[in-house]
Amino acid sequence: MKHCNIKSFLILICIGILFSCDFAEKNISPNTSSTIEPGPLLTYVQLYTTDNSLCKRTQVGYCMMMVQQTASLERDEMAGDKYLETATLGEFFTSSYTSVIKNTLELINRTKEDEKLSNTYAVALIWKSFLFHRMTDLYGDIPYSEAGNGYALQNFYPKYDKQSDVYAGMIADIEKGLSLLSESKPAIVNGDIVYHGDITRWKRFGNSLLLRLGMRLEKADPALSKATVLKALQGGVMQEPGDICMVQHVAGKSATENPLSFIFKSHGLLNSGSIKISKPFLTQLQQTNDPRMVVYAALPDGNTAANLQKGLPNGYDIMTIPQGEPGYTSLADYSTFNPGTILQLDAPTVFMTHAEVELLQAEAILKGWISGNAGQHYEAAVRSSMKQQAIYGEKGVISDSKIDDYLSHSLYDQAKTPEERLNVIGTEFWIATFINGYESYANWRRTGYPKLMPVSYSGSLYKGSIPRRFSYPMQEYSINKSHVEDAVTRQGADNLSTRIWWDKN
Amino acid sequence: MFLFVGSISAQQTKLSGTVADENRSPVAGVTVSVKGASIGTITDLNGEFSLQAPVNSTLVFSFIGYQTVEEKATVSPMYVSLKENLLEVDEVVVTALGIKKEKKALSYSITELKGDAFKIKDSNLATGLAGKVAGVNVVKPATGSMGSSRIIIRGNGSFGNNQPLYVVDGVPIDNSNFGQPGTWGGVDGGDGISSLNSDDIESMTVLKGGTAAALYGSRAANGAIVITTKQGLSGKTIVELNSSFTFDNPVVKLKDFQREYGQGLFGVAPSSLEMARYSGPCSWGSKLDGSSVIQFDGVMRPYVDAGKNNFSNFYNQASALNNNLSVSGGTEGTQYRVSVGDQRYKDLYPNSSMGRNNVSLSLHTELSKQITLRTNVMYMRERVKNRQNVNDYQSNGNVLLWTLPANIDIRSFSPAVDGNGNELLLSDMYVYFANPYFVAYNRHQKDAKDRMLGSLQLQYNFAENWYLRGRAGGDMIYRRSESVIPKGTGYNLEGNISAGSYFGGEFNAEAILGNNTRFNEKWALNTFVGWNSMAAWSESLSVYGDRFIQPNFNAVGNTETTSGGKSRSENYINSIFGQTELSFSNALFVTVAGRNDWFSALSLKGKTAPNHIFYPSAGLGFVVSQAVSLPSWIPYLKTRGSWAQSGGAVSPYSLALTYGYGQAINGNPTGFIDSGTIPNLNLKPLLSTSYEVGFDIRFLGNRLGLDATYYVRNTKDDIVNAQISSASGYNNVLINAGKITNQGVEVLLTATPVKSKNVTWNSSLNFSYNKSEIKRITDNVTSFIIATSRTGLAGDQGSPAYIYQEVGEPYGIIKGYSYVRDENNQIVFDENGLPVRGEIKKLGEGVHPFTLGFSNSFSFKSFSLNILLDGKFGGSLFSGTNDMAYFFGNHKGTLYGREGGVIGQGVKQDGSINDKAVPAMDYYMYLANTISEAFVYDASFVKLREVSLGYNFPKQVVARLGLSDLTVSLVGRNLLTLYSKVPMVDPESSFTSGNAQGLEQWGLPTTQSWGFNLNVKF
Repeated sequence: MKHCNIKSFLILICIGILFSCDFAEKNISPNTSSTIEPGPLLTYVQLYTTDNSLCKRTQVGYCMMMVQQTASLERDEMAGDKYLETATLGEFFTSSYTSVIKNTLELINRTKEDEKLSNTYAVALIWKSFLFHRMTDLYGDIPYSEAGNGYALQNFYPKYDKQSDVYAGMIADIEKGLSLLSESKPAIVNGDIVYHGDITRWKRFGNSLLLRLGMRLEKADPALSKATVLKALQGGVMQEPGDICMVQHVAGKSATENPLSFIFKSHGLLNSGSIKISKPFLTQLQQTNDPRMVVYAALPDGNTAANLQKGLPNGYDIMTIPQGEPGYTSLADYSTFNPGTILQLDAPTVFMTHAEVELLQAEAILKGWISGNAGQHYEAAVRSSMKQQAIYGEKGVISDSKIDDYLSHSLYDQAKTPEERLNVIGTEFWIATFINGYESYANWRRTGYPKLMPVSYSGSLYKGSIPRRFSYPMQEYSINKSHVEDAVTRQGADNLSTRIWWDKN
Repeated sequence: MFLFVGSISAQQTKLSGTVADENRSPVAGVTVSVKGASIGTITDLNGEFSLQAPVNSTLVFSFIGYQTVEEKATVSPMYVSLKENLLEVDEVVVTALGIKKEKKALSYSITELKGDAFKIKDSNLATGLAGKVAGVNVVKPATGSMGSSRIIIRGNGSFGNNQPLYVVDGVPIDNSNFGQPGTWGGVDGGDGISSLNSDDIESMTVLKGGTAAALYGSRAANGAIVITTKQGLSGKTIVELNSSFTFDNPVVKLKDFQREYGQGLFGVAPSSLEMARYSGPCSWGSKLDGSSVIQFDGVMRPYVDAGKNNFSNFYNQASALNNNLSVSGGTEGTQYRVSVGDQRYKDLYPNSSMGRNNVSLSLHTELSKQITLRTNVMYMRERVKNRQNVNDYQSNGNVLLWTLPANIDIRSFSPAVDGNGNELLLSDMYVYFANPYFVAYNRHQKDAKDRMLGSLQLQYNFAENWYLRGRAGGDMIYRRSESVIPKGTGYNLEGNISAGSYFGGEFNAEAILGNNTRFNEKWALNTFVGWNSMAAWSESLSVYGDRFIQPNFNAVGNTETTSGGKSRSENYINSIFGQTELSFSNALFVTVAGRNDWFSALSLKGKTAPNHIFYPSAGLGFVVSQAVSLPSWIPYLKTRGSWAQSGGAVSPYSLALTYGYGQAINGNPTGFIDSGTIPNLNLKPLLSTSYEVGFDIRFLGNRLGLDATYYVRNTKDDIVNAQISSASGYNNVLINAGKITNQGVEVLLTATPVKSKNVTWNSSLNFSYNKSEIKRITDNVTSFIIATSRTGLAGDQGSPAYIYQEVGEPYGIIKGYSYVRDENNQIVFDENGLPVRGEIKKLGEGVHPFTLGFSNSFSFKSFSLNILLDGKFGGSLFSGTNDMAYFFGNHKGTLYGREGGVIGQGVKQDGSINDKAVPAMDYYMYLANTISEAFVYDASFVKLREVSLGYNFPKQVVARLGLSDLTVSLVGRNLLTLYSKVPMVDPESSFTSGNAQGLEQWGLPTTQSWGFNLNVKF
């Protein structure tokens, strides 16, 4: 009996121990991979820079509204129209770091040591700077050197870098990327949906981005500004509409469709009238018989007849609009984005155009930094922008004769003083960057053009002056308090009127 | 079995039988002796005995706690029923691992509820515990009859799971929750415990915390609820039918809504259809004067209070019909019970319902003298139609009921769709304010759950005092669900469909080797060792179809874009454990136990930290009244104390970073880092150390009893999904850092004020107080947010409130924007007459520290009356419903100042009395958007929870009908709220059963239920 008991006891123990072996294999997830290829990372990063949830509330709702390309009677989601401060302002921050910036840094981590992937590494460096320049241009001082790399660095509370350091870092990264780009090295991995592996176009884009960043610095660091601009031009910037930096969307799956078009369709925004073309913008196009009006604007039912288009003035809500528009009846009378072009599900999202690059060169000539004919660059810009509208399909095609016609009354020729010329260039920039609100807003702050009349809405803390930046997301104050407070101490109050470093008065 | 051997003479025969108590539970350890001879034995764990005795002997059955019974041995096997003694302290209860012990031997506090505690049925078995057990805090979210439950025993000890382990017939079951509403809304998918049928339950033992549940090791930290189902008994076959029908009506505090002003803005009723569109749910119009005013659908209607019956016109009278039939019986060697149940629920929300069926079988058979086999199988089937969304706007059909202006009758929305077949909206500027009829009849949700619970136990008793017990059991759930947002839905015109299936469960195999030896009269030693192997798995498939093509055809094939996914997970825990209990003089009991768990979720190649943890425990129980001579009016006094360490769970696959692939564009797949949380290679489960001391004292022949416990429960290394700066690229990181303490008292006062032949009155009061404190989160983090209200997010209306975990504060506090006050506590207003927004600070506690239950039962001849009151105190609630009612102006509080402006009560920034009048709409909208503090209410309450009046028909009447027992009762649940300070909504409205308690918005209204019960035995 006794030995029987001991035997059973021992058997129990043995079975117990046996079962505990080899658990390590059981703890590997069957649902997700433990490694990733650089190609899909690159595709992800490029595709999601078109920012699905942000395009409506941030790009259109704030940026385009503030620089009066669009207008709205709403107060909550289209808050930029009346300079209302809402929690949406923090969304770009929280969303970009955790999606595109994180994965771009992962792409960099995976490609930087590998010789065979150096072209991909170069592209990732350039893209990283593209992502960060949007972020710093909106907020000012931002987490940069310690940001986006939480797992690899084990840094959960990144510090905020000075904007001047961010710019220095971005410029250095772009220059490094440009130096690495080489046709003699193995091609960029499959998955480049922007330039499809075209090294020349990447070089042009990298230099064009340098040009854009260099121009931004004109007031804050004139010397660096000039040096960067000259380097960029020497390296070779965009030369033709085909150099456009954009993502071509594909209709059929919500993840690949143009995000703005997707939201318009699923939220019924054409009927609700939340987003309208603003009166100043439409007036500018109408007064100059700009052929782009037919591409950009239409009534909610799709009618593009020029004489029917009507822009909504900025700064009103449903109660006050009759004061701004005597005879106002209904939102259905006002123009919105053209459903036949911009709101097509496969319409591309544009990051940077050749037209902008021509205009920046015109400015550089006017500054005396380079030689050349600013007027010719202006014309090249107009021509490029108008030809570029073909990206929206046949409804976007503008004939050469129409372009010639427009240029025959060239606004630039009519401008005599340097100030008037800059106004023409700035206004053209504003029109050419329509639907890229981030850039329109940044350039307006830099140049002051076009001259806009700020709205004065009684419910806004900022009435009478267009905001100069976005405020930091609320949760940074509870989670990353000391660092965000450092930034505020350095930069100025965390509100919408504080000017960021390059936005000098 | 212990045999006394004495002198034997005369003719012998074998006598055997079973001894059970009044509830038909077998009683072990009963001394069975032959009267007049020194022959005897003791009943075994199954209550069975067998001995050789002279023919026609009289057997004497005695056991402490029961009245001694003498029965002549005329038949064999005999069935003997023991009546409990006055003291009831020697009852045997089911403890961890299904080990039955005498209650007096326990070193910790437990509560056992018998099946009749669940006579008044609640659709979720667990929420039926409200008010019945000291130290147990029950929350039922405002999600209707198909919702889940939250049972917290002795406070919240973890940032992760705080719900106890549920064990049914020795087998742990899967209490997975199939989705909970969060900040952005959602449906409550129900949980595991809700499927069980209360008619099958014999007893439910609540093991309150690590000390009682220590043998469950890593699963024990939050305590355990051990459920034993009804078994058969040998003897006559009994057929029992239990039927109940209840109906529920919504309870609405209409007095908190303003009925004087109608739809409109700026004090003006809409003068055009466009103005009506813009006004939406705003009640900032003019005074209701009967004039003809245009409404959302273009129809002119009188501007009067047309909506006062909106709640009763829209919501159904909910009902529940419950039937259960069981057959039980058996022979000496085999006993069985079969039961079949059917439950039908019609929910408060129109077109929502649930049906459940269960079949269970329990079989107990003696394969031989030493080997018994026990098996239990349960099949449960649940079909739900249209679970409702709560909180956020999307498809939440309750929103308009809470916000509609007074002049609009909800029935105007009954066409559900407009001329184009799209949702008939109040306003296309408020696409998220769903048409409740559209949600009821056009939006669809359904799910079906099939579940099998089974266990098989084999016990082999050998060599005098040894036993070997093997048990295997499992819980398997197969659930399918489908949810449709139809084409034409206001906020999503194209609609979508999502469907999924889930297959998962848990399987346990266990073996125990034990020995119970009584050395002599004074000393006994009970020991066992064993192992357990647990395997849990889940597999789910999901498909999502976006944008319907053809209207009114809701199938995945009818969508423009489809996507899908499949995921699988496995989790294993292997354990060895052991316990030994030494008893002296049946008065002093010392218990020592330990369990070692090995986790698969902690194992990974390259990891240095160990993947196993040891959980020790020890305890002492001392029956003072047995050892020391006490005055006669204290028949019983026992003290107890114990200490234990237990653990928590770790999810599998948390140790390493993972990547995913997504939708391809033009043949290029997208790939990305799949986690928003930074993983931790050296993750380990939390460690909970608990100890308790208590006593149990009875007075006056057990007419008065007091049971009190003081406990402390400390958790350290809790896994924190700590929020980090999004600038790091991630939103959270997993770390072991948390330290939480809970301490408290539980008191149970029982009394029998009246006890006579015809009338008995039993009263019991349970009270508990739990004080929790977050001691530490991480080195850098002193607070983090676990939930956010829907109000004030993403630029939307309302003021935000947060549930925080903060060092130095209790678990789950409510924080939000406060008023600014001067040194006299006066509110400070700015130069515009609006209250100045203060900083975000603590506004209340999300979890009530005090809970109370007071139950009284009266029996008078054949009548019985039970009344249960329960209450909770000290917690607060941020009410999004009230906040938004201020914003939209349909709250009673927004009446002041409509004509002439609101002058806020308080001081200006310079200290002088505030005298600036602000137009009402501006003032209240600003208040609603800015000051969260104004909408945080004391959520303490007292409710008349249950009342039942029953009549047990006399035996003669019953026999004439050919029955053996007949009882009818009238029942009521949630009949009255005797005390509450929350306007508009019920203080118990939470939208989730998760850790973040204290937020509510736009849930289903609370209900009052009435009904009757019928119990027939054939």
